[in-house]
Amino acid sequence: MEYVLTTHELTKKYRKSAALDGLSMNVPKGAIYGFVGRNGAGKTTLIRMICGLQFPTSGEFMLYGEHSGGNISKARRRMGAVVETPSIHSDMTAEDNLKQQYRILGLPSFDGISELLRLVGLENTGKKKARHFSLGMRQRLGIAIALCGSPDFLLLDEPINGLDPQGIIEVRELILKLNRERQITVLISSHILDELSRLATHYGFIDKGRIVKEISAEQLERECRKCARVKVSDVKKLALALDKLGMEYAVIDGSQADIYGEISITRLTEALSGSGCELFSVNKHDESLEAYFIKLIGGASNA
Amino acid sequence: MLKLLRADFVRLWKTRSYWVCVIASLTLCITNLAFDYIVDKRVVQNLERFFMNDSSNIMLFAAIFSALYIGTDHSCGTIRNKLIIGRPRSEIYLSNLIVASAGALSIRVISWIGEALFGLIAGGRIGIPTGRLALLMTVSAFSIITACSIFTFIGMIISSKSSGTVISIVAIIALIIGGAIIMTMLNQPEMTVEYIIKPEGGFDVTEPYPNPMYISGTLRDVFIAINDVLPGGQAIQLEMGEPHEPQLMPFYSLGVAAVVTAAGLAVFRKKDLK
Repeated sequence: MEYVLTTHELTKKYRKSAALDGLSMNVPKGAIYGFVGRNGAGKTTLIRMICGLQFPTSGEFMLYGEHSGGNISKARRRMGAVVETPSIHSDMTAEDNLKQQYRILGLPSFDGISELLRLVGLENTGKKKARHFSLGMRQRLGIAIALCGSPDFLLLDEPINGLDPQGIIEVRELILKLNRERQITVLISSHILDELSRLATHYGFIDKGRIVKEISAEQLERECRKCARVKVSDVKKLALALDKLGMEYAVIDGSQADIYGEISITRLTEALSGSGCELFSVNKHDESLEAYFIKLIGGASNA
Repeated sequence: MLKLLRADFVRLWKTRSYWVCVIASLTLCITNLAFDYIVDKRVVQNLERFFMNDSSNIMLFAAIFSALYIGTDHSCGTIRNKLIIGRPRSEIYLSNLIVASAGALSIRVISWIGEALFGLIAGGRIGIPTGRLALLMTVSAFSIITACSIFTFIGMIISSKSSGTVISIVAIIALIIGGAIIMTMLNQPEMTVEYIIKPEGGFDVTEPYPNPMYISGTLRDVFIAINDVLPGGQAIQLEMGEPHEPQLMPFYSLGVAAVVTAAGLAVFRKKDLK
């Protein structure tokens, strides 16, 4: 798998505490990488480091194959970011803000600005100064600025924080559009898990400055899907029976398995008794991303 | 670097605090001249005096404008837009220094133009040779550049716009007051006399004796050097009309600006930003 960003044992220490503590992660190309963690877990510190705002105490990262200690500036030209609050000139219009970023990038003309404004839904803001924009409009303008250099990789730090439901939908649609239509890899940090679950193709769970788990959305869905967890005397016989019944399942261990979809307990019991397998228990197992996160982080915290 | 400069100059043009400082400094300078012309009812004989006696005010306006201009880059977060796309920190620092210096110099030049126009229309004239006037103007311009290097240092190191502005203003006031105090000490006469009032009227004058307030030796040399080198002392000397070694002052200014900028770059390169 090709990775846009990989980090290796990244550490950031302040006087008394460590914001990042040997963080290693991989962001696959083309992914929407949901970066999940509690407040203070180290999400923003990592994003600031990738953006060149802060420096690691130790460890390194690679962006498009360039090491953090090497010619990272060149690789950074391929990315855009909105870190915490959108970085916009509040006394300028949306168009002037984009023109300013075009100048910083050294782009030869302002072609593409109207397209960018249309993309983020700010084409009708005219001479309205950014200071009069709503939070959602400011957030979308911040994303438009990040898109000025046609980046391949977009870092968004809590992009839906404080937005109303309409604003959340607009930003979500925009991120999906950028990923699908422009093939932009997106790293999006959030603790609004329900929203993240509608976007992400991959997840990285961070706690106390370390990645606790990296998982694809497909794997996570498998782990979080509604299922019945059954306990039997022989899981191999259970698997054979489920195959015959055409049921989807995942073996947990030598005696347990999760069965997905609607199941008929009567048919299952008949199939098992025919093969000499005893059914001990059936429990409904339903897990959301939130429950998964709490289980994971809670487990890690208690470890 | 040129890309950043272009963007920063466009921002300067759209910065309200810059235009407020231009108008305020111009108004103050012309008001001083008008007061002299209208109230004292006399033709301005030495326009150059007005060109120089607002040096401290201009530095104060430069401090306010520079701190707000650079502080806005931090407070709006737009400095991040430059870093994220890979612009080197040294370029960002130097671009801000150049634009802040250019802005402050333009405030100075616009005030001079306003004073010259008003003064000449009012029948005033310049009382010193053109070469001397050009030298004093050069000293003033370089002094402002040095002050801007200090304001840029403060603005780039202190991310808070309000704190940076307050510290810049306090710094320039301290430099100017410090310069004035040193100048007062240096102007003490070497010998002094006492006046003794006689009971029958009149007074006796004692024989001259060494003034205890007079500064001599190495300390005098140090104080002279401080006032020649730092922008506060230079501004005070320009206002008094007789700067010490004006032909060397631009070089001193460049030296101080270079040292301050090198220190600022070293700190800013390692600074964690939010």
